[in-house]
Amino acid sequence: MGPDDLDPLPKELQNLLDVERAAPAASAALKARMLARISGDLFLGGAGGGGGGGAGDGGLSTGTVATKISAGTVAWGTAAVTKLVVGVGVAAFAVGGAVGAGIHAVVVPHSIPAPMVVVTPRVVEPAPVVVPAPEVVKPAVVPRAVKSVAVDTLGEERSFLEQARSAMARRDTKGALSALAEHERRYPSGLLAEERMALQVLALAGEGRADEAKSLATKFRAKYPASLLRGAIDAAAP
Amino acid sequence: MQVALSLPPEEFQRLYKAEFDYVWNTLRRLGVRDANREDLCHDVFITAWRKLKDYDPTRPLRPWLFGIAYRVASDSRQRAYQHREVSDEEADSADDAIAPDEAVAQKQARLLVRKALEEVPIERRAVFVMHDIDGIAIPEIAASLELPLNTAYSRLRLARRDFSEAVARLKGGA
Repeated sequence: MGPDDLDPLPKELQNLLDVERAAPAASAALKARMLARISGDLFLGGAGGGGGGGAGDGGLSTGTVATKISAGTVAWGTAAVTKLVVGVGVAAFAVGGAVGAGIHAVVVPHSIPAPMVVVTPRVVEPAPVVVPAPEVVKPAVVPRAVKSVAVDTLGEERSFLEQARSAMARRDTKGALSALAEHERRYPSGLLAEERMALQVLALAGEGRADEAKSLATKFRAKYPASLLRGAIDAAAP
Repeated sequence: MQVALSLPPEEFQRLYKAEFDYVWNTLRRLGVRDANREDLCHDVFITAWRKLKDYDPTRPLRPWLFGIAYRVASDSRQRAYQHREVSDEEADSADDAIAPDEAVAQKQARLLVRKALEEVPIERRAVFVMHDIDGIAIPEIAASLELPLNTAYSRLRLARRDFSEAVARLKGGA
C-alpha cells in the first residue's frame, strides 16, 4: 500500500471537506476563557483537568514536579512547573493545594532546630523513633502568638482561595470572584493577598471582563514585580 | 521568587493563539462533543506544554499537536466519557461575511461531514482528517501517530471508503 494505490477523492467529497476546512473560528470570548483557565493551571497551580482526560503518559491533575520545591508535600496543580527553581513563597504553596510545607515555613521560626520538619504530620507519624519526642513539636517551642495567628489565619485564608479555585475549575468565575472578594474583605493584607490578586485577574479574564483583568494585572505587576505568578498574569491579561 | 519554565508564558500564549482553532476543530472532527470539548482542549494544551521537551522543532507543529489531541480524545472515549452523537449546534462564532442562505448551507455541509466522520472508526478517522482536511503528508502522519507507513496509507484508503459510504447513506436518508 502506497500513494499510488490511493484513488483521488471524488469532487463532491472534496467540496464537502473544503467547507469543513473553512469552519469559522471559535469565539474570542471562548478563547479568552480557555486561556485564563489553562494559564491558571499552568502557572498558578489550579485544579487541573476539570474532569477532562489524562493524556498519554499520565493524568493531568497530579503534579509531577514538586520535588525541587519541597519534600513531596506540595500537590501542585499541573505538570508545567517541572522546571521551577525553588524560591517559592509560602503563599504559592497554599494556592497549589496541600500546604503542609508552606504552613510549616510560616509557623516555625528559623531559629528552631532542624528536626522541626516534624511539624509536617507525614514526617512525624511514620518515624516516631527518629523524632526525639512529641515535645519537639509542641506549640510551646513555637512562640504562641506566631503560631496562633499564622496557622489560624493561613488556614482560613486558604479555605477562601480553595473555594475560589474550585469554582474556577467548575468555570464558575462569579463564584470564584465572590470567594475572593470575601477573602479581600476579611484579609486585605493577608498572607495570601498575592495569590488572591492573581486569582482575581484570572477570574476576571475568565468572566470576559478583560479591561478589569488588565487593570488589576497592571496593579499586580507593580505590587509583586518578582512574583512567581507573573506567568499566569501575563498569559491571562497581557 | 524565581522561575524557569520550559516555555516563557508569552511564548505559550503565542502558541495558544496560533493553534487554538486548529486544536478546537480537530477535537470536534475526532468526535468530541461540544459539552466536553473545553475540558479536552484544556488537556491538549496542558499536555503540549508538558511534552514540549519532546517536540522536534525541525518538524511541523500541527501533526505533533494532532497526535496529542488524538490521544486525549481516544483516552476520553475509552473512559466511556463520550457518546457517539453529533450536536446540531455549533458553538463557534458565526461567519458574518456570508449570506444567510449560504451560511445555512455551509452549516448543513459541516454537519454532514461531522456525522459522516462519526461513522469512520477513530483510528482511520485520525489519518483521514490529518490528510484530507489538514493536508498533512502521510509520512508526517505516520510519524506523529507512530504508525508504520503502510498502515497509514491503508487506514487512509479505508477511511475514505467509510466516509464516502457514510455521506451517501446520510444524504440518502435525509
